[in-house]
Amino acid sequence: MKRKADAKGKPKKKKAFGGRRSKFCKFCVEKSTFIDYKDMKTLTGFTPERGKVLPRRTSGVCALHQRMLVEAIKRARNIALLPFATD
Amino acid sequence: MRRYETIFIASPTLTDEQAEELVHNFEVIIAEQGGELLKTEKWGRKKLAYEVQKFSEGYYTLFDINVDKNVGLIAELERRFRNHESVIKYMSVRMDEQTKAAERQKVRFEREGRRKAQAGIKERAPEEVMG
Repeated sequence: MKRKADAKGKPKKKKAFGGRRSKFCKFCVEKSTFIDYKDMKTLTGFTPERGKVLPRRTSGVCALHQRMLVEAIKRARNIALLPFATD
Repeated sequence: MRRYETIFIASPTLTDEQAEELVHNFEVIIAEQGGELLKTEKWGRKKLAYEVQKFSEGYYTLFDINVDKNVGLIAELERRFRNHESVIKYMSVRMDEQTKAAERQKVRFEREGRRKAQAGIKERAPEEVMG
């Protein structure tokens, strides 16, 4: 994610969903119609340390895209691209 | 026609040449069985997310296949994967239905965009939202 320089020179919050920052669905912004199970860069962002799926209430992903995401993560797990569980 | 992505992991005990040869063998099988191989992606030796048959590495290969629905190519391919001791894991995913669903979704997005434009709601650019 690229950050635009703030016009007012106020430092922007670094943490994507920390604090009171309003959530948005990353995939809706990109108008994604399909989430690829091979796209590790995207998928790892939604599977924190333990390898679980990041819940919607945390990530702000919409229902439609969460469904696609879960399918992609499950496929990636099947072919050992993502862990079922770590620890 | 059906579109499949078949991905398999070859054992890390193979040398690079042996792995290449294995991939070639499967390519030949696909051609023999009447499948149209759109592309082969060799990802090379990759670390596995978990141990498979006590291995923690493997050679990933992806086949992008177009095949007629009456041809049992995927079944045959998977049978061979199962019986081949150098293949430690495989997975086939049917892609054509997903592509269709994606297209329907694209239409929906476009309609939504038009509706918003009519209602005078300005759509924000991705950089702006993610900023």
